[in-house]
Amino acid sequence: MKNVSAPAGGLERALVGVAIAAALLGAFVAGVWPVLLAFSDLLRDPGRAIGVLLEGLLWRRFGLSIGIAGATLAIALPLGLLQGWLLTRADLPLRRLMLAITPLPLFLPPLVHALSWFGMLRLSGLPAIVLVYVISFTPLITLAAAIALRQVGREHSETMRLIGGRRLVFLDDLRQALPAGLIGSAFALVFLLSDFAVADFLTSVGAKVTVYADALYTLHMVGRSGAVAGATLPGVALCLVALAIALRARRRLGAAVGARHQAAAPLSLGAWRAPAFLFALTIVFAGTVLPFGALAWKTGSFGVLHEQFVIARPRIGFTLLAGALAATIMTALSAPLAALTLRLRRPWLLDLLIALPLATPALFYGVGLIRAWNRPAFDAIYVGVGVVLIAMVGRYLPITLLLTSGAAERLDRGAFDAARLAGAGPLARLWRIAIPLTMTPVIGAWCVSFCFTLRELDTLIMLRAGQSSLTFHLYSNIVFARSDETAALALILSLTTAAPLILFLLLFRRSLRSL
Amino acid sequence: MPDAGLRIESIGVRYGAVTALDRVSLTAAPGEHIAIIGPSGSGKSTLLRCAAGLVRPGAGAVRWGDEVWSESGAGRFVQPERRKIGMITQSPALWPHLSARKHMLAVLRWRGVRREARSAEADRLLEIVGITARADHRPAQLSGGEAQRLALARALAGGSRLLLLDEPLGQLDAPLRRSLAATLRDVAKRMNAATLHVTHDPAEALRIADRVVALVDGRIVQEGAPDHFAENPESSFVRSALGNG
Ligand SMILES: Nc1ncnc2c1ncn2[C@@H]1O[C@H](COP(=O)(O)OP(=O)(O)OP(=O)(O)O)[C@@H](O)[C@H]1O
Ligand SMILES: [Mg+2]
Repeated sequence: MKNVSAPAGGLERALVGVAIAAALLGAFVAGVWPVLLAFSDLLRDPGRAIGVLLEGLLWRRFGLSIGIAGATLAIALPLGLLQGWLLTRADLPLRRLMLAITPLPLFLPPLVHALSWFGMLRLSGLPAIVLVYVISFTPLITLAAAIALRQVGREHSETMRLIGGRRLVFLDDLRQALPAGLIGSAFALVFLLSDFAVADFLTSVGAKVTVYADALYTLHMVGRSGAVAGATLPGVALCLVALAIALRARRRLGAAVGARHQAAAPLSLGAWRAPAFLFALTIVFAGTVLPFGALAWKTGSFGVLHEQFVIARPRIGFTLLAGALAATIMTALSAPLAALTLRLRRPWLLDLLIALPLATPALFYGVGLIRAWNRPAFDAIYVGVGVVLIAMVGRYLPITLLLTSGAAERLDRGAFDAARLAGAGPLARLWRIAIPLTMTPVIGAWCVSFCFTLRELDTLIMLRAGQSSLTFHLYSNIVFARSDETAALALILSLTTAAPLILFLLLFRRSLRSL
Repeated sequence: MPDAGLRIESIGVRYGAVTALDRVSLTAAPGEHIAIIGPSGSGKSTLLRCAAGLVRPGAGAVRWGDEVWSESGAGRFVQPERRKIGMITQSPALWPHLSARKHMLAVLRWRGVRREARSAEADRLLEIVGITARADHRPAQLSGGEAQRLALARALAGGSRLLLLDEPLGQLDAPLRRSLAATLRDVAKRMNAATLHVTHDPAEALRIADRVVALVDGRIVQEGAPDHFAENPESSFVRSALGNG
């Protein structure tokens, strides 16, 4: 005999099935298909693919990139975990404000941080590269840790305190934040491996540092397509492993949050409070206030800002529209995919498939997109906003999915069973239970997706239509324009990202507070 | 054969290597109050979940009158939301985003109670369990006992024909427990609902039930009227539970 939990009704099953099939198709078309097309070069030109893998130079560049990533994460992970803990679990003054401005550096591509720090410190070479990446990616880890730590329950934390005092609470919190920190680190690694602009810019004078992404770019420019495909393999493998670990870590992010969950009260730090506050403040200052202050200072006058705003206005519209649409599509696709992940016995296979486009170096994914869509029949998509949307959705869907499926996994199943018994049909359960209970994380997922699409540069740079984006405009200005104009543009890009988020958060403030 | 009432016929449930229920049969007529006792892990919650349709038994059948709720093999299955059941689970499984009053209103709406009647009925239910003063509180703002009483009110809402109560009074103090157990019995009788009531308190079982069922290791080891039960314990569990072993 075999017993199963209550099956859904026929119509409900059919609707869920259609939604899941549509989402899978969307994920495949936007993500997997272009990657497969790009990798078809391996079959077309296997000799070159193998040849490039035997070159010592490629591995040296790859090793260099890993070294940079390792150094970055060795600093960013502990820093981010500690900062995330201080801003959520300690009784520091201004901690909400500090947490609120922590995401700001994420609104800008790392290249812009290189620009603002280079202006301030005249640093160059490897230390400067690592510094810029630490500034760029620590907020990712801080925020991931902060989100995880908000799940810590009052009773759990009080039990820990009674057993081992504040020390144990701290250690136990770190244990709970670590999976989130690792997730943040994995994504940081993936972005870092795809970025060539920072190293290129910071070593444009003096000894040139050529990183892995740069090597791929050079191979691409000289048109050795089989070689690009081969050279991409180690990067894809490394990123897939990192993302697989990250996606698995999601399952350790915390148990279901019951109806009577109460967040733990912040810990009073006693004598440590002042130094801890100084530490947190320093990080916020160095990571957020200083770079943005430097950009403002470089911009010099409001006139420059306004002038650049007028020039960039059509691009702002384009970028906002594309970003908001892409974030909405990703959120919509991720809901059925999250439902599917919950049902699968081995969800990591699906996870890996969806992570594939993000694990693929941005440039190479761009190559695949060109192959897929640069055909006369698809002109309407390739020349317009269509391909930009596809690029954003394909690349950032894993991030949206990570957030939504994490939320789905934390849902209390008992609340659904109770609604069923009370007579609620599938629609009523969706509308009255599932949506209200997942609203906060889904809004969060939308915001994060939006923020990533707006700073996207590495893939869009490959697409003709991507050149209408604000990030591309900023990138070409860094190369060709005056530094005050570039700084003004960077500020405009951050404001463009921040404005809808702030509006959104204000609109949904009530439902967000309830968590 | 009765044309209403719950009939559980030789159901079996297995979780991997664990047999949670083994050929369990049980009936409950409308208005009948059945107490289920048994050691921890004996399958009491599983039995209730089978009756609710939250677990589909791998063997046997569950019927209500001549409706087939679930039957192994034949594939017939009535969705939980169609069974008109009120249930309290061991953890109250409340809805975190709704106030106590909104819990009531939601259930009444899903159960098809007319809009004009809902508000008064919601107040009446909260009154029965004594949390009128907490009507606007959400679950996180309720004490453990208040949350349990809200779950109780939710189970009673909307005219259920079967009440499945898994330790419904576990978190309450003794006097409140006694008075609510009596209220519960009265309300269930007035609704003419069949009741399966899991309790860890044998005295309570003997006091309020029409019939008592003892479950050990997934099997029914004894079943009968309370006085008969107390006088002739047939297993070591029942003997020690009733304190005369
Ligand atoms: N989802 C599940 N997966 C595996 N085993 C389960 C599951 N649910 C219950 N069991 C097992 O089935 C048996 C019966 O569980 P059940 O919850 O019905 O016990 P119970 O009588 O309600 O116990 P208690 O009085 O402690 O609540 C137990 O051994 C339990 O470990
Ligand atoms: Mg139980």
